Amino acid sequence: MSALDLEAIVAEFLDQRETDPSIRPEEYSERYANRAEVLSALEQALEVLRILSEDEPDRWEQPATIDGYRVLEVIGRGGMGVVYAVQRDGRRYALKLLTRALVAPDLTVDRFRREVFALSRVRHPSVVRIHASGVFNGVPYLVMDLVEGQPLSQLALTLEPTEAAEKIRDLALAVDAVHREGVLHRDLKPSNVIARSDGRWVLIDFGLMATDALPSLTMDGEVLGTPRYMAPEQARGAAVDGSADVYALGLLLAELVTGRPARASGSRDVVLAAARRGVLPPLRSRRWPPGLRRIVEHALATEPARRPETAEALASDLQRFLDGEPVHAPRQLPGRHLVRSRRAWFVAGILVLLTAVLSLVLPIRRDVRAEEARLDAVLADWIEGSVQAATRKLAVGVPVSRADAVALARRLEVSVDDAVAESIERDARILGEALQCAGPELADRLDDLVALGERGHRSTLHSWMLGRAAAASDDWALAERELTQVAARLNETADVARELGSVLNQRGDFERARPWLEAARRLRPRDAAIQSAWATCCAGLGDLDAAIAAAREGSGLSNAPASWLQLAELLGRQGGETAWNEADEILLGLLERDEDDLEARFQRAVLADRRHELPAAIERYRDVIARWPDHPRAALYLANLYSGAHRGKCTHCDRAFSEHPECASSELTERFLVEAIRIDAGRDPSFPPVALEIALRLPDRRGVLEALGEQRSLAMGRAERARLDGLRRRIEERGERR
Amino acid sequence: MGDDSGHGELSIDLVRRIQDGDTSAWDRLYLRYRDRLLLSIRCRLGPHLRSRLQSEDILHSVVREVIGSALKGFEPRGGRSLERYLHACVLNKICAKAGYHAAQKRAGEVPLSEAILDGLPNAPDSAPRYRDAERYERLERALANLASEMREAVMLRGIEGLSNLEASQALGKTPEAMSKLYNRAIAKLSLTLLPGRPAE
Repeated sequence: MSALDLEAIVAEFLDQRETDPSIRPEEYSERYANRAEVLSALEQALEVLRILSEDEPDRWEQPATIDGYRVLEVIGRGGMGVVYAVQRDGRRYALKLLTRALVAPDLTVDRFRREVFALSRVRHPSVVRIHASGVFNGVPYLVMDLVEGQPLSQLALTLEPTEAAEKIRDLALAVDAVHREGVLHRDLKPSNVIARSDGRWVLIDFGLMATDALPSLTMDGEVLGTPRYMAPEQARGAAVDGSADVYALGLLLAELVTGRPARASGSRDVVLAAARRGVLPPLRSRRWPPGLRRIVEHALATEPARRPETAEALASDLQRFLDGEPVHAPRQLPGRHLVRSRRAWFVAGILVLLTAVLSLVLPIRRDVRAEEARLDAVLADWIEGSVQAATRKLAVGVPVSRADAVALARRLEVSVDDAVAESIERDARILGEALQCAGPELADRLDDLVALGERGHRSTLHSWMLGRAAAASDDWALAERELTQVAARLNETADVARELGSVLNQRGDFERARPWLEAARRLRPRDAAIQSAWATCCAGLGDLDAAIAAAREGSGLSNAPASWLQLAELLGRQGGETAWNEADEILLGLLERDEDDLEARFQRAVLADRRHELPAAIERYRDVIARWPDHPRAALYLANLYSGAHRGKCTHCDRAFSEHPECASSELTERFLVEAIRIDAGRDPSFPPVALEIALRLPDRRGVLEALGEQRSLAMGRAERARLDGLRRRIEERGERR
Repeated sequence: MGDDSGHGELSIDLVRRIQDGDTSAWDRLYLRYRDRLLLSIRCRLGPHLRSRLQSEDILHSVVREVIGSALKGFEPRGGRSLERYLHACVLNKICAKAGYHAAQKRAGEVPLSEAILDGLPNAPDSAPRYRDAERYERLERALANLASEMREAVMLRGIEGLSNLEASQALGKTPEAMSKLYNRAIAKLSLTLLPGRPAE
């Protein structure tokens, strides 16, 4: 990985930490192939921050006592203030000293105490109790129970839907008790909920509570709070009521069920912008019971008036769900709401297909227009979801599918033409990454990227991105010009050569990649990334021995899991007991290091598949699918295996099929093939022929063909749009003939 | 930066003692902030001025003035306010020295005299003398490799403890741009300091 890439990743990580301080380098680095390299860079960044911020000066400037409370230690620190563990009369409390900037200039001790009084009246077992308040050196503070336990943010919980519903029901009742005293929390998030050892969850931290003394959420144009858990109106800085807390409870519930935050992470301004629009990515989980899904959708309505009227109403609906009664949350209209699941996408796909079929059956001209409008609505809705997801991925350097990249680049036209866009650098980066993912189809957008560079600061990073985008778009003159500039500025050409080689590798143009990668190897023979790219190139050219030698070199240099995986995969392809045994040892070693290394698990399944160890292969594929339902290839390979692809290939396999008749199943072939089609969602153009080849082994192929038809119509590639347009023309012609 | 001063006495208490005339409390206070102030001075001096001025001389000069004034100009205003006050004194001193040096240059390049340095003892070399030398020297070298705007962002937010909003106002940027600039600078610093990775 180049220094520029790594630097961008570290900067993005630091941006995201400002939004979500709980994000850890170990988690963040997992999204990158060269995880070890990224992890050490992120840890180094935190070490630099630690050296720079040096908490000793703070400690030395910390007060010994605050109005008779002896300060023991700092237990929390954030934008809203500092929380100390304090002691008085032998009892320990938590004391929160609010940030001075949040306080109204004319605040007096009496006034602040009067306003906190309302909160101190709240008596609920799931709400931290306020014991006292005051103003110390002009800064207000609250004295609360010191709740022993762990914040939810540190527990990374995934609960069963019913258990999650119970927990959120209790929290909703706690929030309702707070609301009844005329106080809003406004900062409900996992780190503000403490899980006590007795199982009770307690709501803490009223640092952002709304009172007259702390009247505004905005300070010098900045919105205070945690964007990831903000209701849209709160993110806009508009007046909020209890429904903002209800929205946050909905986000918490979604996070508990799916095991991940409903709103993706990103820099503060990106997340805040998403929060303002009320944009949420699809909540991917099969775990949603229908009633609970409706409750979450109700709580997460963008308009406050469409949410449950009170937190108590939310709690009641959750109780109805737990009792098995019909819930009161209204059914959301398809396409209107932002909470979507795979099933919703599937429904959208069916809708498109039905629309097309109905249009053929009912060739009436006026219906064509109506169908067009409906198609456009569904497609526009789909594009919106894809664009949001792709933007988030590209902003942190995660590749996206070609179809998503194309949709995103089309959408970015608005920003490109906006002369006063403040986010030129970000747009340029996203467009650059999108062009790299999209390939030659978007070559005409290179001019926009050039224009963005000229409008903003023409940095080395921009040249690097433009060069890579140009290479992906087949504009080799531009690619070489830009990348050569980068090489000159950085006094480094090996990275550039490796980059060009890698781009060509990705496109399968191994012949043209070879000279670049040979040059990179000459310049930097002991570079793991270059060796890895060289191994890919050699494998592409059919020279497996050279590929394995390079992969061995690369894995020895970096010791990174990705390098070992590459070596294991190549050994598996080479075949023979010796190579297979070595590959298996490597994969077992990786799983010893990290039992959650799903790619290693998948490679072990493939290895068993190659060795024709059918029951073991089936068990391992199913294990991967159980752990990672959206694995791009596991379902396809499993369908291939169930279809009897190995039958008649060798006596070993035939014996396995006779001993284990469950290894061949048309029903399971169709099920996993349809699943694989859904996961691919038309992204990989090489996928349909493979799927069709497997489908040919089925006695009844209609289900598979239907699934292929749906996904291809949603894929939004040029060919698919042309197909849709052709369909419409045929419908129109029929109507005219009538 | 360990607490060599011992006792763990709060800075605010030491300040009160200094303000009450107990100059012996200054030694403890000085040890706590010395390394960070020295780093700030060395990064701010720049190579040209550094060739003519000794970093520790500037620090001693500031210390003399602060002790002389018995921290009368300092008013405690919450976390890190003392550190920020001392950094402000350092910056003022550097500006004064730079102005004097420029005037001398215009007048015919006379060598810097002992008198200019307020009769402070000479430092034998220009190398920094940090207590945690290795860590601070590496940081100093890495900071020197940053672009000036990035270095200033690190100085303001990282060393002097300004909030993002204050630092953005100081550099005339929006808070968002300031935040991004600071994070990019930290990322660059991190890669420079990463063991086994050559600086670019």
